[in-house]
Amino acid sequence: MVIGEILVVAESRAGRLAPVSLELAAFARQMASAEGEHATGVALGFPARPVAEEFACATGLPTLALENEHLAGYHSEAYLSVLTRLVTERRPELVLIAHSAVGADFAPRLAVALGGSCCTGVHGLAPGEPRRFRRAICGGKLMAEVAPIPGQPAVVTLMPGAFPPREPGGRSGEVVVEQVAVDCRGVRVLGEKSPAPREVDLSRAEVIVAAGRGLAGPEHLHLVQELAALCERGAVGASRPVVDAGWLGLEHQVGMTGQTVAPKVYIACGISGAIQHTQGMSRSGLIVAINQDPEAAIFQIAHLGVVADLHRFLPVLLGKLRERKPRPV
Amino acid sequence: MKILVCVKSVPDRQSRFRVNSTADGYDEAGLGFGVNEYDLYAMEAALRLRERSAGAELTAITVGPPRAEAALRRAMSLGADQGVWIDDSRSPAKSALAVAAWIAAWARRRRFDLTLSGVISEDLQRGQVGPMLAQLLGVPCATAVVSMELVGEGRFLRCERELEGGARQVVELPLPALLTVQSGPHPPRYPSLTNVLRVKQMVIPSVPAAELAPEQNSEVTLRVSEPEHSGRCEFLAGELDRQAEQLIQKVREWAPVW
Repeated sequence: MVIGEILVVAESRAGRLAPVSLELAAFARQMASAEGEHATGVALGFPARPVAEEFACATGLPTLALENEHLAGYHSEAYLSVLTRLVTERRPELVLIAHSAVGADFAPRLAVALGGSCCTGVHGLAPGEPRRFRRAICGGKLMAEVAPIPGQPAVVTLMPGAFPPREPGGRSGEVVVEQVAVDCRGVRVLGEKSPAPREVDLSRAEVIVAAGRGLAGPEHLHLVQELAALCERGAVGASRPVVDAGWLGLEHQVGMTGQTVAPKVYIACGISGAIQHTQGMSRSGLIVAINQDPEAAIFQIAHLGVVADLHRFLPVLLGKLRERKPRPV
Repeated sequence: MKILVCVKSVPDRQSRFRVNSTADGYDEAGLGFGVNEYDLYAMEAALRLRERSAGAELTAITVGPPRAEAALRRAMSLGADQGVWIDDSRSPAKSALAVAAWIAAWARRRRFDLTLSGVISEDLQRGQVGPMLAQLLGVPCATAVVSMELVGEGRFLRCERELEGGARQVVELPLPALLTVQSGPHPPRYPSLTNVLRVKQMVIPSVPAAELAPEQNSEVTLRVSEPEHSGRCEFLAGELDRQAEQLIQKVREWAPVW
């Protein structure tokens, strides 16, 4: 048994290390230093060495590179079989995984396979003993502190964007490459579909006016479109429900499954502020939130808040901007 | 083909949430409850599969106190053939594993070809019950699925699951399998009056959770609190006119975008 180990599952996509992996490493180090533990990375791939080396180099953590042809991309059953065996052998205290499309897919199953505990989508540690994690519930309107069951291996997923990565530096960790067997259990990964090419490049916008569920219908879209048009290099963004409802195309979506943006000004109109959205825009310069629900989680990250019905507020704002800005003749 | 859809009763997301008296959850007093939206997407996916495979039978299941039975009926009125309510009022589930283990205990010997749930619950947002249930049933699983079709003479499901940045992964699972459904292009239909009346007259069997399996837990909730406001949000006061004036001025101070 390896005493006090935190195993960090490095995430990669198309053979490249995903940025969230560095956040996982930084969080693992914080936990390990508090408890006198040590952290080890593990990268699954085919080949796995390049990602493992990138991770070991950026984080200084010793890293296992586990290789099998079925690990070239994410394969749920292959990942589960490899990690179940690895954790059963090494018996780490904690397995840290990204709360991504990949991590959220296998982490709860891994916990059950190990007879372990499971805390998903955590934002970081909460003060206190034994170790406990903070996570958002009820759309971010409340915070919960959760802990694994004592004496069980813990599987924990960290919300991407919630924990700051450390600057790379220092010595690279050692990389050990191992060929592993996998069990695919008849599941086949047929490939990946890329999103349609974007006609809207939100990353170039200086101001993003984003529409949320609070817009209440596509007939009100003109309000955000007109506001965006009045801004220098303005663009229209959207939260997931707006895209799901078909009011705006996927190219407008900001957040976990959309684009990550950091404009000078981000104006969230009728957006509740779920982490899935905010992690795609929280690094914006100035965040303005317009929402009639004063408890909306968006106000936790906004710099300027307007508690108002946007259907009434936006026309007033548009009127004032037009007064000040005569139309070019 | 036998399909099982797991649904959960959750509070309206617009609610004002307060911490309960034991500070380990939210206070349910005064909240309006409905069906978890993602579970309705799962219902819709099940109905669409049934329309394409004759003779499929659709069962909905929920775990919770009496309000869960109301949510179950609401979900069933989209078109489920039957429903079952696992009543945990005596000792409410404290973690996702408890819920998954009870559903697994009920479902195991009934041998469903496909089990569906929503990708996540709107209230606790753990996203654990579905994948845990798959593991307990010993079937393969895919999460955040946005489309699915039966292939290979109905022995496999080909699904697209959502990845970051708008990409999708295409996977093929042998049945029996479990999928968790993400919101997407097929929003839940409205219940037909016929179905509403049919479900209203149905007797929903309730099974006490304790009879199914001893409670197993996968985490402990130690404390729930209201988020600490960063204090950085400056709320603009006054009437709409005044709010708009201030907003224009403050944005201009920050950047010359207007």
